[in-house]
Amino acid sequence: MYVREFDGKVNSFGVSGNLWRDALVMYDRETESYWSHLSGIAIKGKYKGTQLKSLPVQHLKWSEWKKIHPDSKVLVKSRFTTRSSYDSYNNSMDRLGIVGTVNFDRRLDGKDKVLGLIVDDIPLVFPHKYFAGTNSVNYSIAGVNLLVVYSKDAEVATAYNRQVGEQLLTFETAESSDGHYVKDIETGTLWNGLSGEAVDGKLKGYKLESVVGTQAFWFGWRGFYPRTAIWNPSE
Amino acid sequence: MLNRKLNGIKPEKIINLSNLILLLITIMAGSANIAYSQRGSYEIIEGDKMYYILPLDAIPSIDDPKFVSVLKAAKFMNDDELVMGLVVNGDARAYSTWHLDKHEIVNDYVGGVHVSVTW
Repeated sequence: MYVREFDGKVNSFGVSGNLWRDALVMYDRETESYWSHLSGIAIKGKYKGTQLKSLPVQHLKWSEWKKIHPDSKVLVKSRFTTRSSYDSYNNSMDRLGIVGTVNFDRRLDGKDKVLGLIVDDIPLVFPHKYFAGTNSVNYSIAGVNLLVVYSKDAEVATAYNRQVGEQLLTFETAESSDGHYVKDIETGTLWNGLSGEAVDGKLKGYKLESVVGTQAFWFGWRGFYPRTAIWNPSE
Repeated sequence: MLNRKLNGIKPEKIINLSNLILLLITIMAGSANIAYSQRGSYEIIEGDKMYYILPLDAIPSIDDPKFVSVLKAAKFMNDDELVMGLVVNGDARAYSTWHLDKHEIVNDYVGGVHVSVTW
């Protein structure tokens, strides 16, 4: 998700109909510059080289979203939907991209779902499949202390900053039926890893700061960031 | 004499013909640009092909989004439906990706910030 206020104006974006590196290319209605929706960077036109400011967004199951945000507003649909138009594409391990491409980097399968982050210009991914034995990871890179929590129920990995005020927290899996709760070792506070909220204990009422991430298929992310580091708990 | 005359005319004709071909190519390329209909057409940006798949706005973005409460959304939302969920300054919103498949972009105003949700 991008802030569309830039260059002193509010802009609006449309769908260009073009694909670049297997991802949507949008255009701004004022200058018709082309922007990659994966990187947020303009690739052609007046704004070429400009990067939009990103805000955190989660890509998750409705059943879990409404639990953590019962006060949420929900987009009205103009037509009835019972599934994704891309179901067969999403579920096919072989089909990479709409125009067809190759997974050049066999460290992961092309269709592996990953949470991609850029920390201090360093691209890294957290593959969903590596959360089989744990629901969370404390990860530090370039002076940034991250917590990434995977929710099996919501099918999403979410990144947070582990710094809460003056305190740097370290998290471990907490037993729960939902599977996405974590406990910090320093205060014993229980946190909901899907909303980032402290729900019980000394820090109750606090909320972890979300870090901008992108959920993508591995081949798609890799097309933009070939030198990506891959988190692997077994290494 | 006749041969000479023909030879004299020939080069001129070839020029005309190549002009005609150039003109045809220009017309075809022009209409291809307007129609974007061929999957094969592309331009290279930073070493990678940008494919022209569809015309501008063939997939319409949502520029005037309407919202309802979670309770009312129960009528049209499935539990296993994937949504884009975001919170800006306490304003939480969910956008069905099943619906966004046909729109890709929502231009919205959330928690006092103008944003584009892209899928």
